[in-house]
Parts: sequence; C-alpha cells; structure tokens
Amino acid sequence: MAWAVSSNILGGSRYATAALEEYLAIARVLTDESASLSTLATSWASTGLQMRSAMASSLCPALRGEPTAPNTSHTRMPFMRLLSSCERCSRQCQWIADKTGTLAELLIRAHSLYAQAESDSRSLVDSTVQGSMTVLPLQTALGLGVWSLADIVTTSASSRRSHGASALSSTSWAHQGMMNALGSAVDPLHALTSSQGAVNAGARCLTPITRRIADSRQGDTLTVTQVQSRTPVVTSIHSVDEALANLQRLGTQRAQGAQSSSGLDYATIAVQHYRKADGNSSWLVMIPGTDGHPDSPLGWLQNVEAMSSDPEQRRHADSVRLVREAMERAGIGESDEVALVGHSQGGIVAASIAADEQDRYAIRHVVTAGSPIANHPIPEHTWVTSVEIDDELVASLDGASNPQTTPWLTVHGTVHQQDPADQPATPFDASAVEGVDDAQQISHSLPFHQAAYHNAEQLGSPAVQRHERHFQQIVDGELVETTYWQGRMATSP
Amino acid sequence: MNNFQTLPAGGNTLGAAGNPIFSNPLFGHSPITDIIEPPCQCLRVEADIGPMLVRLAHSTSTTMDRLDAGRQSSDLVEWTGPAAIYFREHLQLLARESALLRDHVDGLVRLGGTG
Repeated sequence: MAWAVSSNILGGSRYATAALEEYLAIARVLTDESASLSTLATSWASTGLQMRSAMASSLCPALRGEPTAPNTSHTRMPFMRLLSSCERCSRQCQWIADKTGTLAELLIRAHSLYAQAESDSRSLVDSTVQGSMTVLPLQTALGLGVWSLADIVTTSASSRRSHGASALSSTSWAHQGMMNALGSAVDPLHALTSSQGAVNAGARCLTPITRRIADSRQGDTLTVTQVQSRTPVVTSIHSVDEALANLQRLGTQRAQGAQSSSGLDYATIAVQHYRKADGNSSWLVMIPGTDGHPDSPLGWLQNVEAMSSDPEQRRHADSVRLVREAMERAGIGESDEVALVGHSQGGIVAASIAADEQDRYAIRHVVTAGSPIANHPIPEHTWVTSVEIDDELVASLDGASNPQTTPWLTVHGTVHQQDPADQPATPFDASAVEGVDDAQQISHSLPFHQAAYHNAEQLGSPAVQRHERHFQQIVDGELVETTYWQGRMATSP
Repeated sequence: MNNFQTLPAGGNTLGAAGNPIFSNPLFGHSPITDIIEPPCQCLRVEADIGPMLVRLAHSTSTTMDRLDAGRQSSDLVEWTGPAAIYFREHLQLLARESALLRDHVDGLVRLGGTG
C-alpha cells in the first residue's frame, strides 16, 4: 500500500459571481443527471429481471422465442432480444452515470466550487471545539480520547500507521479548535484583543520563558557562516514544484549531516541569485524546518518566538535572525524581488520575514509547506502559497484557517494509502508520495506536501496556475549563484 | 429524479393489463383471437412489460437531452492543464456513448413495436 495525497484548493482567486454560478450550475446538472442515469440503469436492470422471471416461470414457449401451437394467440414480442437490450441499456446508463459523476467531481475539485461551504463548516467545527474545550476541558479531552481510541481499534487491522499517528489523523478536524482554546487559556486577555489569533497571543506570552530556556541551553550569540557544498544540492528552478524539490534535497543533506555527499550540515539555508532578462536581480531563499540540534538556531523553542504576535519577539527568534543575516550578506538589494520557500519552521520564518521586513526587502512571494502561518500579518502585496496536510497537526498549530484571498492560496492535502492494484476513477484523484517508505508514520515530512502540490497542479486549478505564474515571474531568469549559510548558537564569551 | 416513480404502480399485478384491450398498440398485439379463447399468459406479460419499456425509453431520452445540454455548457468553462484535457476528452467520449445509448433505446422500442 503506497501513500497518496488528494488535494483541495482554497483561496487564490475569486470568480466573478456570475462565473461561479455558471460553473456551479454545470456541476449540478452533471451531478443530477449522473444520479438520474444511475436510477435508470437500475430500472432497466429491474425490467430485464422481470422479463427473465416471466420467461422462467411461464409455460408459454412464445416468451422464449420457441414455436407455438397454431390457432392460438401469443405475443409476438421478441423477449430474448428485448431482454438482452434491457441489460445492455442498463450497463450503458451505469457507465455514463459513473463517468458523468466522476467528471462533475473533477470540475468541482479543480475550481473549488464548494470552497465557501467547506470553509463555513470548518469554522463552525473550530468554534464548537474551542467553546467545548473552554467550558468543559476535561470532558472534551476525554471525548476526543475516546474518539481516537475508537478509530485506532476500527482501523488497526487495515492501517500501517502507529497508534499516535492514527490518533492525530482521526482528530485532525479538532486540531484548530483545540489549539485556539489552548492559546486562549495561556493569555485570555490578549487572546481576545489580538488581531493575530489566540495561539499567536499565547506564543507572545510564552516567549520570555522559552527564550530564557533557549538562551541558557544554547546561548544567545548567533554565528552565521557561508559554507560550500561539494555537490550541487539546490539547482536552478522555474516553478514551485521544483522549489519544493530543492528544499527537500537541502533537508535530506542536512539530516545526513557531515556525512552527506555535499558536506552540508544542519541549520543550513540556501540563497539563490537570479538575473532577469531586463538585468534586474531577484532572489530565492530556501529554509528547511526544525532540526533540534543543541546549538541550532532552527531548534524547537525558536518556533514559539517565531509564532509570537509581537513583531519584536519574532525578529529576535534565532531562526529569523539566521535568515535575515544570510539575506543581508548575500547582497539582496532593497528593490530586488524576493521569494521565500520554507518547510515547517522554515515556513514560519519566511512568513515572519514577509510580515516584518517589508521596509528592508521587496518580498513578493512566500511558499510554505506544513507551516502554521494563518495569523502572521503578511501584507496583501506579498503572495502566499501554503501547502498543508490535514492530519499533520503542525500546520494547525495556529488554530486558524488561512485567509481565502486572491494573494493567499492554500492547498489542503488528504493522505491515504492506495493499493497499486486499485484503479482510481481518474488519474487526478491523488498523487503518489515519492521517496517515502510505505510504513511512514507522519505526514509532516516534505514529500507529502510535494505530492499535495503536484495533485493541485495536475487539477489545473486556475487559482494554482495564477500563483504559479506569479512565482515564476520572480525566478524567471538565469541563475547567477547559489550560496549556503549555516547558523550556530553559542554562549557569549 | 427517481424514475421508478414513472413506472406503473404494482407492475407485476396484471389485473386489467391481462385484458388485450389494454395492450400497448406500439407492440402490435391483436386482441381479436382472445375473444374466442382465454388469453395466454405471454400476452399478460407483454401488456405488463411493453408500457414499462416505453416509459423507460422516454425517461432515458429525456435524461440524455438534459445531460447533452449540461455537456455543451461545460465547453464554456475556462480551464487548462492535464485535468481539463482529460475532462474534455471524456466529455466527447460521453457524447459518443450518449448517442450509442439513444440509438440502442430507439432500436429497442422499434424491436418491441415490430416484434
């Protein structure tokens, strides 16, 4: 059983009301007629069965097309041929019904025709879970525990996931509501007044504590060093898909540490310089996720600071400082267009820089994979392409859904295991997750996001295409140079 | 739409349908001889099935008309990429299958009418 991801697209572009109504009407016609044809298929089959039953139970040979006695009146209907025709009509109706239903579903998914309804129901669930967690925290936690347990018991035979991963998956619908309730519990007053969400308000409250812990363990002195790669890890790119592939390669090399073929180690980011046809420079910054090494600026505790609703706290996060310093030393000019691509904490850092460094850099596009950035105050002129997996938890840590606006597109992936022998209804139902073991437990790793984006791209969603074009305009040029920057934390001498 | 509702209620309880007077003229049954002898069971089956086939053929034809209209509207959708190509190719395939089904249903009605 291989892993596959099916995508839904939210935000990115708004259809004119007339166009949306027209597309919805077409989808409804196709869906309704699919159901009608399916009913007709049953009716044809049922009529055939009635004929077959009459032929079997009657003694009259005329029903079976056999010769009858003279001077008696018999049917002249060719029952045998009619029976065969009824069965054929039934099969044809069912085939057309299935195909029509599949095409309607494809149209609905590619154009996100029910996105508003999905978003409304999601908000309702979030509010309900948050309210329940606030008023009856123990009972709600117990209920969610029972829910997970029931899922583990019922799916343990068919799923290869661990119990923990199954529990995360089965309660994914409640993650945002739970996180909001937790954020409100940490800082109830600020959570009510903050425009950046209860979780980010909670992170603001926790940051002085986490910073003290991080400083005592790692120190507060960040050293950023330009390092060389022995092999080309990050290559010239022209699309979001390729940028995510680069980020995955960078992350893999980092995980292998000094033993990797490139020699690149943890807490290393890449900065690419492109020269456009008009001579202007543009830049692409790639930021991997948390590595958790003791002296890494991309540690666990830095997540809290980068999530804070306070811009000063975000700016002080070690991971944000690493990227900012690398961007400055790489020579990014104030008017040079910049795109930032990050996975997990890397995405939070990208969103923080896009929110807080607009005076210093012309940040045009941010691509995040598995990053909780819904509450980061990213200005509207910066486009955001977010890829999130339903059950990865990390992307839901912001306790909110991403804005559904033209510059903000979210690709939601749903992970499932697919039997290679099963024929999907269309080639676009899901995209296979490449380079992941069948027994992979957590859907937060980047190949899942790559598969989700690939599936969304294959659907030909106009919203995805617009974002893709916007991103491509930034990296549309010749790659001049790729530089790698490594960060290390130390105690001040 | 539930096409079962368009079928005669209690289709298997023949009642008056056994009387050749109620036979569907489309299916060409002559009631003359039945006045002399009790009708054969096959005539009752014919009287039962015949109208049902006519109604089903009509429902199928109407549904295909609506589907064809929806299919033609789908050409207006602005959509590019692999899924859009697949969608349009399969709409054409649907059009061919739809035409085949129409032919088949027409043939079935003719078969019953001339049998």
